[in-house]
Amino acid sequence: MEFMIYRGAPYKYDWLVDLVEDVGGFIISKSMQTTEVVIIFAVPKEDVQKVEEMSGRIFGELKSALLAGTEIIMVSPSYARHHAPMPHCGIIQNFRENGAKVNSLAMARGVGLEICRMSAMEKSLIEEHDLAVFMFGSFEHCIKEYKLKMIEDLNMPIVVMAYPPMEVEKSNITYVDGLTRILMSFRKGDEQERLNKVTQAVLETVKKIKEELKDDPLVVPPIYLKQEIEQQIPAIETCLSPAPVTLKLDSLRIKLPYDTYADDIKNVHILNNKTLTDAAEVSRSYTGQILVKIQRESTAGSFFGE
Amino acid sequence: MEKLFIESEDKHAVEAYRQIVDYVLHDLSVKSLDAIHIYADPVAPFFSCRVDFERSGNPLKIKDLSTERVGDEDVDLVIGEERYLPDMLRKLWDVYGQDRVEQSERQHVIVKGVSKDADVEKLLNIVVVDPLEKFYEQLITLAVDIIPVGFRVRRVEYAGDSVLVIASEKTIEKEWIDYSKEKLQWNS
Repeated sequence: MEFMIYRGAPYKYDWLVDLVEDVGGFIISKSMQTTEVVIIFAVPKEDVQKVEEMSGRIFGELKSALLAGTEIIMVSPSYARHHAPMPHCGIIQNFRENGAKVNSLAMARGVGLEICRMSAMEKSLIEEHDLAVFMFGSFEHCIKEYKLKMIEDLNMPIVVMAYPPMEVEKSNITYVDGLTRILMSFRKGDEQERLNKVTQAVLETVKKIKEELKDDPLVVPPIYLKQEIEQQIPAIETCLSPAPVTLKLDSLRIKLPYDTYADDIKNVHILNNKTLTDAAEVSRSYTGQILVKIQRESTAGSFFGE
Repeated sequence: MEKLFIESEDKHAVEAYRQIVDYVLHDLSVKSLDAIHIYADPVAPFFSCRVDFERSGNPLKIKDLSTERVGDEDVDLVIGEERYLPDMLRKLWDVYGQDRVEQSERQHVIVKGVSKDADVEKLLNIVVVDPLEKFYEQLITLAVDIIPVGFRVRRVEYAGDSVLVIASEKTIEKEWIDYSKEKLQWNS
């Protein structure tokens, strides 16, 4: 499957949607604004050319969406002028243009040396994502002795960006130097290069996770479960959030209240007369939404027979 | 272009702050800056920043903003520049009290009980707006944008054409102040 992102006018965008569905592809997300529609989708590799031709006919732009199907969280120490909107939002926009679903977090007490802390709430929120990207500062002493220690309890893949070159021992952290709280809007050449280094690190981390998933595959692909949920739970259409069923690498986030809809989600029918609970664990997210974590073949066995 | 001097034991931080200051200056577009001196100690920790500027813009006095008509017992000020009228009234209230200052019409302010030459002279020389104050505020905003966000404890000193800000996340020690003043060649 090839993941792609289409940007064009709302007029005739449904031709593309129909084509994607006809060739056996999946629509991951569709975002409609008044003058622009952004569609992230997956199609079989052999049908990419048909999609390119259609995109040309309806005057849209097509790009590879290398980060499609991931939910990333971008964490900055604060929302002060030092960090936001530049470069925090510029970095987020870059990931979104590559197809990722990105959430933004500014820590309550992320600034300073001895005063910096990560709260239990922030830790829970961050750990629900596939990957966390942190932005730190310019002083080696601060990053080594305080900031890296602040995030050492996080049990997930992390990309850290800061200014000084450094070696980081923890295996789940990828460190990128050269980019920090400089008010860049990423339009000039050198700024783009630094941002590309971070994007490259994120891509490599996602690649590693996907390879690890190949060794012990998921019993069903997340996109299949997403389709079934969208077809069988009408309440999804009432959800106003963007991407009401958000794809992650090995799970889904459903933006409906856990207390009301958890049972409906658990009873969703999937292939071979099974229900969703046979393939995944349904749990409550920190904010009361529904998280569906798909099981691996080593635990639940293969659903497709030997 | 301003002169920029950054010193710290952390050499990479020096490079980073050169770029940070560059972008902040571009973003805030502060005029009449002369030089910026920075010293950063990441271990203590404290961060000192001295900003020098070229003094420009004279203080505006009552005589610059209005024309006076001296009467027997009071002075009628005919307002030329309405923009500063609120500041002017506030200043006159401070000096003479509200009961002696009357704005009878839109363009007239009467100050009662002032008729002798010496008093009139004193009235006309009252400073209404000092652009230097606004400028100091701009410079402090600039310094705060440069200084790391977590260093909320700040000590500010002014001297003529310079502002010195020493910041830390802890209580500022006397030795840091002395060291910064020496490093940044601060003459208080």
